[in-house]
Amino acid sequence: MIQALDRTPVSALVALAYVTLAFLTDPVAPTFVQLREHGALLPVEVADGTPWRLLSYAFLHDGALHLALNTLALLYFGPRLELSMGSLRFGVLYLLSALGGGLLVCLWNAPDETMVSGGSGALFGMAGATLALGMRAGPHPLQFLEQHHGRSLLGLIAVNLVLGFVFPMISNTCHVGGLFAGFAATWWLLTHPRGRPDRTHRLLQAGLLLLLASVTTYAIVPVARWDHLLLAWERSEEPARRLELRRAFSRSLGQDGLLPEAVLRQRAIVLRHKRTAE
Amino acid sequence: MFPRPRQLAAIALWAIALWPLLLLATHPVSPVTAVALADGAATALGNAALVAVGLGAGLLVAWPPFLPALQVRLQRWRLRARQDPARLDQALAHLQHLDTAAARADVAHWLLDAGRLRDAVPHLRRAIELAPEMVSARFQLGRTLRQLGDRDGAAATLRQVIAAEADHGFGVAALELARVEAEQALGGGEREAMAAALAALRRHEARSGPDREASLLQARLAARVGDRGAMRTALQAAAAPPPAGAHLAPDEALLRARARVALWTWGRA
Repeated sequence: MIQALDRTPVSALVALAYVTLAFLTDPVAPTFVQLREHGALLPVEVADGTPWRLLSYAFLHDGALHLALNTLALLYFGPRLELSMGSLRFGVLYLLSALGGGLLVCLWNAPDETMVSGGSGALFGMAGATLALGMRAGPHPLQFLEQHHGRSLLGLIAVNLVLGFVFPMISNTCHVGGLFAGFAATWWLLTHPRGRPDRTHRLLQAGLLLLLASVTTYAIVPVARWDHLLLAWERSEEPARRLELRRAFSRSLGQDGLLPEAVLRQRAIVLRHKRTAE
Repeated sequence: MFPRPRQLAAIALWAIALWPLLLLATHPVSPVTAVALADGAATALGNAALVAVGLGAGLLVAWPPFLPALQVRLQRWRLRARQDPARLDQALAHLQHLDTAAARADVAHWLLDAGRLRDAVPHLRRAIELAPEMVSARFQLGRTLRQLGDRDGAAATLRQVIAAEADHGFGVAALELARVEAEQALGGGEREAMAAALAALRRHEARSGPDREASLLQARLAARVGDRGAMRTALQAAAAPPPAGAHLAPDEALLRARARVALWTWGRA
């Protein structure tokens, strides 16, 4: 076991980070405040000056069971993937998958979505990467469907996505974001294409990097998102600008007309409450 | 000229990537326009995702090996469901009274029928121990080891079968050995071994006629040794339609579907 982890230093390091960081909070049942203080993901917090949460959430866990399940999944997927793609690429994959999961949570920003923590977005990224490697390995991208491990991997992904829909405390948005990020990063950025990379391939790679940069920027400055507009409205002092922001806020909630100021104030209180305690 | 799918994907990716920047640029001028643009993008992306999921599901069903693979699986389930578990119990009870090669082979037979390959192996080994001349048990062991992924064990056992009875099963043992050696060569990646395995498969084909699985292996070996002409010929043989009026068994249909896909993908001139 130790020898195996010695050959896969990044997996070992991430597992160690999971366990170590659990002790920053209560490892068995951490509170909302503890998790928020140590970097759990809340889209409104990311937009309000703490962009590092887009990565830090992937190392924090919401309790012992969450930690145990994710560490086991990491130790199952991580070493195999790290051995096949190399430690540096694996490290980049983990971070990109975590970022992908965090970005989709910020983009989606569902009203019922609370705080997100845990490495499962990145773990889904590893599943996406394994899928991409399997699709690259055969003579045809869909050839892996004919192999047992390809089908069982798809089944594993499907079952976990279904579980995400069944249990409301699981953030499927984060899982889907991580899955797509892991797949796309492995397919276009971290492995070589079958033939010589042509101009279209380079365009796709550049487009992917641009997408990552622009969506990250948008997650940090989400100019069309209701919570950001509400904060901007609260902080703005110029009446004309306040009116514009109020109109934009109303539109972002699907209202064609102008919502009364009282509604905005009430929403602001709810948002403040969501940021401070559950 | 109309762009290819990958070029279209690149254009779509750039458009999506530029959209958040457009929102950031629009917001200082008109926050309402920025929100309207974001809404439009979300709706368009949602619709595109739905269409993509629908197309993906359709393509999966239309994928030639999909339906034959489903048929193979259904056939296995049907066979297992029809199996009478009492036969295995009877064979096991018989074994408790008399441990003979025939009784062991009988137990192994029912276990193999139930899909319990790993459980059948010790019974086959014991049958060979009790009756070393029992070539059929040895052949069954070689075949089972191959199915379990133990290529070295399978090759060694099948060589013993050929040594004992060169034409066992009217050449089926020789074909099985040629397949195992081909898989070993593909796994090892040595050019000489692959060329030798390819020659062995061709010899068998010349003697006993074409076999879809062997043809597919031939195509893989030919592709690895860089003989595109031989690869195409082997794929064409594996993808050949059945004679008029004949019906392909699900296993055969699956092999044919795989060969057709490989022919489209790799067999073009």
